[in-house]
Amino acid sequence: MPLWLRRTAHYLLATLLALWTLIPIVLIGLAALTPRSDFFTWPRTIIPSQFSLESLRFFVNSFGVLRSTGNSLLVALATVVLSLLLGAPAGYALTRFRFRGREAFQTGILITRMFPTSILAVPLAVTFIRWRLYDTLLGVTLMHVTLALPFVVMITAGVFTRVPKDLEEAAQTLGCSRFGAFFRVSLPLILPGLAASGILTFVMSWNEVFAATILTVNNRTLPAQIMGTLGASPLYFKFAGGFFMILPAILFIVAIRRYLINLWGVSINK
Amino acid sequence: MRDVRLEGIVKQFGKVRAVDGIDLHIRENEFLVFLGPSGCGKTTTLRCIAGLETLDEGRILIGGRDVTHLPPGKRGIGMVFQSYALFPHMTVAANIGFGLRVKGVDRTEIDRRVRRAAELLQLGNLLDRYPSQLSGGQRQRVAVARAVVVEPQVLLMDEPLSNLDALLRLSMRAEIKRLQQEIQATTVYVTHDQVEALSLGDRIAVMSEGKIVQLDEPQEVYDNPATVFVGAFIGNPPMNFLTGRVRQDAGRLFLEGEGYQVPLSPEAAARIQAARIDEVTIGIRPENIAVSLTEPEGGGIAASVIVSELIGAQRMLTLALGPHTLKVTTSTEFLPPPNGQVWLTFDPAKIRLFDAATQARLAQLPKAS
Ligand SMILES: Nc1ncnc2c1ncn2[C@@H]1O[C@H](COP(=O)(O)OP(=O)(O)O)[C@@H](O)[C@H]1O
Ligand SMILES: [Mg+2]
Repeated sequence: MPLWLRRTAHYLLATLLALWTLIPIVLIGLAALTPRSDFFTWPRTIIPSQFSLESLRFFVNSFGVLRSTGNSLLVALATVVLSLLLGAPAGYALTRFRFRGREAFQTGILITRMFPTSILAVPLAVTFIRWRLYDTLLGVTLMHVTLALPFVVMITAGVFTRVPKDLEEAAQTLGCSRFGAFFRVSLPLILPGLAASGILTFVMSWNEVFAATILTVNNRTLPAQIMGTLGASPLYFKFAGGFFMILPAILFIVAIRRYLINLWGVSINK
Repeated sequence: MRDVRLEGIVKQFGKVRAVDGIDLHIRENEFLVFLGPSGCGKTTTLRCIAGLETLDEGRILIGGRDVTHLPPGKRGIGMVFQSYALFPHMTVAANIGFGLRVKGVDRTEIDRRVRRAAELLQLGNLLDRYPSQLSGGQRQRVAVARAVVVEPQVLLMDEPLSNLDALLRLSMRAEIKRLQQEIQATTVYVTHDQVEALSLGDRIAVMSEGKIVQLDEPQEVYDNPATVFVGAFIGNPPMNFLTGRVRQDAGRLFLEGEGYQVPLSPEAAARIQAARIDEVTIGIRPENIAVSLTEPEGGGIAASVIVSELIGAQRMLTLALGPHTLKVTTSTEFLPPPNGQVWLTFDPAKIRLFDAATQARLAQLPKAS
């Protein structure tokens, strides 16, 4: 294939993929900013006659939304902290130490992702009720940590492999303790990776709806709350809710895209 | 005192005894080289001195102080890693000053000492660069500067030149020698390159399978290898070895093997007799064998030339002696005859004797005085 053709095909494919993801987001965004009255005109226009925050305001002020947004934030942040605290040392151990059962551990981590949450739903709910974790934010957080851990472990393990052991050893010969060497040399080098996996975890928890719906009744996170009221809501409410959900995820991803790209071995800058 | 004492140190990895009982006294300001083939335990020994490995047995003293249980940072050592191990997120200046910052030296003092170290290693105009922006040779110099700026009692270097190309290696070798004389630090240097070891070391510790097989000055290691292994490892081309039995013929002693007879001096004969062994291995360096086109007076050893190569200032001949192969160096003017037939004379004073069974050098006889 000649070069120009390959390049054209390349860009065509990229454009298609981008449109595939972008079009729904743009449509939802436009719909969310459409004044309520426009929804009842015919024919419906895609571009609203004027932009309005009316729907969004209505959504934010409706019952339970603010509280569940707070819940979502709390759960997501707790999930990030817990999964990094548990996952990063596991990732570190996987790359730094050769221990018995290392391979099994590595495979085991991936296997946990093979069970669909829907299969686990009923036993999980029963167990949580027994442990008095049902309908608590702690319960949802623990569930999200479980879902996020495999990714955190794999990503941090990948990040740690790129910090050679002798960097820490060099720091030790120059007067650092083991911990000092880690904090002065390894940590700065892995910080972008940790941030990336933290934000990935945040977005995952923020968007997770299935477990949150099953495990809570009153203390819902935002997606569970919206799910619960969605069926009975008017169209403009749905769009406003959808847009409200997407926005933070997009903002985060834009903020960290450089690190994500680094993580995946490509770099735009170099 | 800044000497280093290793007392019976042992380091095991599972079943592998990487360091297998080493006793060694490294003198103050000495340049000591650990030399040996890959996997013989040089790096592990160095890491034991640095405190990066915990000993299974033995102890280590630096400047008379037992450091066996001290962490690396408290031993007064500086180390240059084979990979250089520069911190990629710090500039050259920050890399060099790292040890001083950790020790809490004040900023103006750090600045002064970093500048001096950078000058010493010709890094003055690179201080603001990052390691990724440096060439291999420059990185190597930063690694050395970072290790010496803390003024260690003992400087440890693990194959610091092995990642450089041949030309750069030659100039850095001289550089390291000059630096060591300038800063007067006791230096322990690891290499598998015998030329490096011979040119740098005040003494060389030749290692094999976790043990020191010979500890001597370079000239002595070269001239009088303690074992067949040392003779074969050092020198390029290495020492030639022939194994045979001693035989008496018309009042003269010979070493006789398959396809040759080598005359022995009475002194050599006496040593073999004193050792009470049947089989002897003789070792002789390629430059100590004379080659002639005609049979010399008093007899020579007939051999045939297999390959003749020009190696710069010399010519190297590969010769067949019965079933054996020998390497001999001659002047470049020597041209082997078309039929390849030549005669060899071994310089009797340069023949080294080994016990064929143990591969160890035969003991020197006490001088009759
Ligand atoms: N961390 C380790 N774990 C297991 N075996 C090791 C380790 N480090 C070294 N060894 C083994 O110890 C022996 C000596 O290694 P090393 O000291 O690196 O040799 P050298 O530096 O002379 O090439 C080798 O057999 C090597 O495989
Ligand atoms: Mg080594």
